[in-house]
Amino acid sequence: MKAREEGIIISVARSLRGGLREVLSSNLGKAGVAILLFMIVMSAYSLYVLPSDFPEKWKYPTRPPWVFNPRNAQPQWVELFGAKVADTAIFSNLRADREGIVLSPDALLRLAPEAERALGVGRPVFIGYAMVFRTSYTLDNAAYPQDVISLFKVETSEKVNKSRIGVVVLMYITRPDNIVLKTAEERLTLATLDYVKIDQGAFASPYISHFKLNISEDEMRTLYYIAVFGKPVGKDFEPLQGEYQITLLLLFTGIDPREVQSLVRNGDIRISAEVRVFGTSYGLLGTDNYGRDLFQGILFGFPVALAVGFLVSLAIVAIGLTLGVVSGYFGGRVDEIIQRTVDIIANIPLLPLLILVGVAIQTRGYVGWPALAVIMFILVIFSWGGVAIISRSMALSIKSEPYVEAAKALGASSARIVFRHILPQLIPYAMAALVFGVPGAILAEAGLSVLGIDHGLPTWGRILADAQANRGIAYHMWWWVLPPGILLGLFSFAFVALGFTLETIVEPRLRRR
Amino acid sequence: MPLDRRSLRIIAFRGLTLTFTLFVIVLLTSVIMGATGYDETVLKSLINEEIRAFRQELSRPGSPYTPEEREKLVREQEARLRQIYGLDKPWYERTVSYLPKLVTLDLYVTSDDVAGVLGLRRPLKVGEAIAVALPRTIIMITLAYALSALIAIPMGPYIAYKRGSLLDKGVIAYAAITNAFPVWWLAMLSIFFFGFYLNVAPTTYRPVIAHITSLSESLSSLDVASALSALIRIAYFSYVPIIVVTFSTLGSWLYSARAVAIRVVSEDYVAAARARGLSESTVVRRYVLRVIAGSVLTFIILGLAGSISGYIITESVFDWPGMGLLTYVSISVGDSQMVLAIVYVTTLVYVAARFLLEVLYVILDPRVKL
Repeated sequence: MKAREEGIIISVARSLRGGLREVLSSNLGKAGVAILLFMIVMSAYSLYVLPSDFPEKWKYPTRPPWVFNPRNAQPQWVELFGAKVADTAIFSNLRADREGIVLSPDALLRLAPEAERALGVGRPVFIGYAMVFRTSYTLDNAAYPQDVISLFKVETSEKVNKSRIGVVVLMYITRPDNIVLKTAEERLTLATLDYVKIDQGAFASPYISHFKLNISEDEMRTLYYIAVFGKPVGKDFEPLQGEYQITLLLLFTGIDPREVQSLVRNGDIRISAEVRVFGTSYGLLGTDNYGRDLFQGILFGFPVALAVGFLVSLAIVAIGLTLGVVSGYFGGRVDEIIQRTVDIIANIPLLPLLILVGVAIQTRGYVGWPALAVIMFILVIFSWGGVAIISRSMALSIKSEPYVEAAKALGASSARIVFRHILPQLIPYAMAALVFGVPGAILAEAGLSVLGIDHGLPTWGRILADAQANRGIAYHMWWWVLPPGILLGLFSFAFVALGFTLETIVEPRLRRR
Repeated sequence: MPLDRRSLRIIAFRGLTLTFTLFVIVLLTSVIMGATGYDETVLKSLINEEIRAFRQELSRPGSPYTPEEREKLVREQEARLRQIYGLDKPWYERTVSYLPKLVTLDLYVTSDDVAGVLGLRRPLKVGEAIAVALPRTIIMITLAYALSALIAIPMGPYIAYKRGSLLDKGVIAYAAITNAFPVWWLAMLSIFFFGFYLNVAPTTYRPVIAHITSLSESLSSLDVASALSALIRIAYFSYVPIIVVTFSTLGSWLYSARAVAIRVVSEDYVAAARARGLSESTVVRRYVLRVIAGSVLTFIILGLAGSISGYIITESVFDWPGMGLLTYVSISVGDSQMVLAIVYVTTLVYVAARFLLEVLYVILDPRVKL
């Protein structure tokens, strides 16, 4: 009877070791362990990579950084399977490749010849300081990129009054067929110089007249990305493959050009540009309808799933075990009260209750971690019944074993009997219950999210909920619906599989003879 | 079988505890709705909306009231509405006042959204609402449950026999997978695949209401042809949900049936029967199924009783207008009377099923005691 004399910690260690041996002896168990390891590695990676304000960023999909991503983009790797997608390309940290004071229109054209060659635009009249940024993008596939966006990073010293310096930003795109389009023109100041997108109307009319299209200007505006990246073929358009040159021309106004030039050359004004061509593919797992990077969202889900699952399950087992043992060992009135409570919570419709509480905390304005904590709390409060019933019956049978009676006769205290004799024997069962309890919490959280109970954190359930809310579009985007669901299922599967293999420990009669 | 006094006492005691359970659950629900201030928030916004409409009505051009009179009327109307919705009383009086009416389901749907789910209009009694939603859940969830049970129960003993075989391992893996992947996600996938990709099923399921209505109308007018065509259209709407729910529940049904059978299959008398050379099917029928019948009955009765509350998330994903969606919409719009009625009815059915089982145990098994 050595095992019974051991303390709880040794018993935990023993059953962990025994459990692991049992688990690794079956394929199902091996699969479970492998998935669990994968989840742990991904969680660590997620905590390492994602910034701490990530949930906050995710919550506001119409703000940066998401507005600088293509929307509804497929994962980039689909190209390997022959899908026709346009790559998303990001050219960051571009420095001005030419700059100078322009004293005549001709001088400007020497800096940026695109300015004159653009369809339907006369030569720009400008005297002042100018900067030019250039990059090129290659379209390999027969697909249309969605947009081109130019972001600017402006750093200045205290000497510079940013709002006093005006900037005209011009974006030109030189196509593989050598046609140049002026795709944007905006008047800003150094203080407001942020980003410029393709202006849908900037080139509609010259484009129509150049290609002699029988199409209205309004229609052309909506087809702007086709106009930029396509060539008319009969009544239709085809993507135009090849190399595109993107040119950004910054013209500084409202200040003496020599002053700006010296500020720039002395490093008092540092401007770098980033050009993003929004393709139809992006990153590892694509983007949603707002351009949010689904890979990042899913990455965030790993540690949350593990934490929510384990915390809830641990709390359920701890409460169930304690109350079960108390109920079984002490009996009497305590037992009666606990048993009736179990009766009630076993009959409670848990999901409606969770929804009710979820909606209530939502109308109260709780969001984020507190909201999630309340949901977890409710899950624990109403789920410990099953563990309590089984621990009680096990405690009852151990209590009447001769060696426990003997210990009692020798004057052992209740605490000693419970901690020395009863709890250690319940540990293997508790482990199995812990493993079995993990998926319930995370599936409940996901289900609540799908129902629109918004705790505001990007979890797998939340991503699926967004897909469900945008069902019209999302159901054409497998990369939005499949990965979070598969991960959710894999995660639960790992624990169900582990639980199934641990069952033989709990129920030795199931051991194969 | 005559019942002695002791058995009757046991049954009565069980009945009492289950009734107490039902009472506590309903009370708990109403306390949560009241104490969190949730139903108050909802009622307030409801009143504000009505007041806004009322004020607009009064201040239309050509109205005979002076601004002061108008304000007075608005204030009176607001007080009246607060009284109607019970906002003049503290939450516990308001919610507790629902409880006695609950027994006879003498409550009304307060939200147009809830009536809209059912395809009905207000005024609507909660009982009528449930009576309309229930059959829709039965033809989807309960049917799928019954299908799973029908497939799983005869298979259980065979799987238990072939412990460790490929079939056994396959069933365990299948159970693990269907346990892990939420059925509502499978529902999303099936809409994606059957609806949008293959185009062989609807992509939205709410219109099934019209066909169920036309079925019941043509049945009451004994119009067989149109009843048949309505039935076909209902089948078109329901086959994907039924397949999805059956696929998902079959795993745990098979696993439970197997688990129940394994305990019996490894008993000595079964081994003895097989050793006597009886055929497998005879052994299963005579020595296994008969012994596990009690557990199986428990599974079936509790499963069917539980199924009538519907699958809240899955029905929401499919937009299937049954009990689950009714529950969800009532909770989310804050129709507390409807919520209470649903919790009451579904818990009542479940508790009644448990009571039935208790009675059966006492009658069938003389060893059962308190």
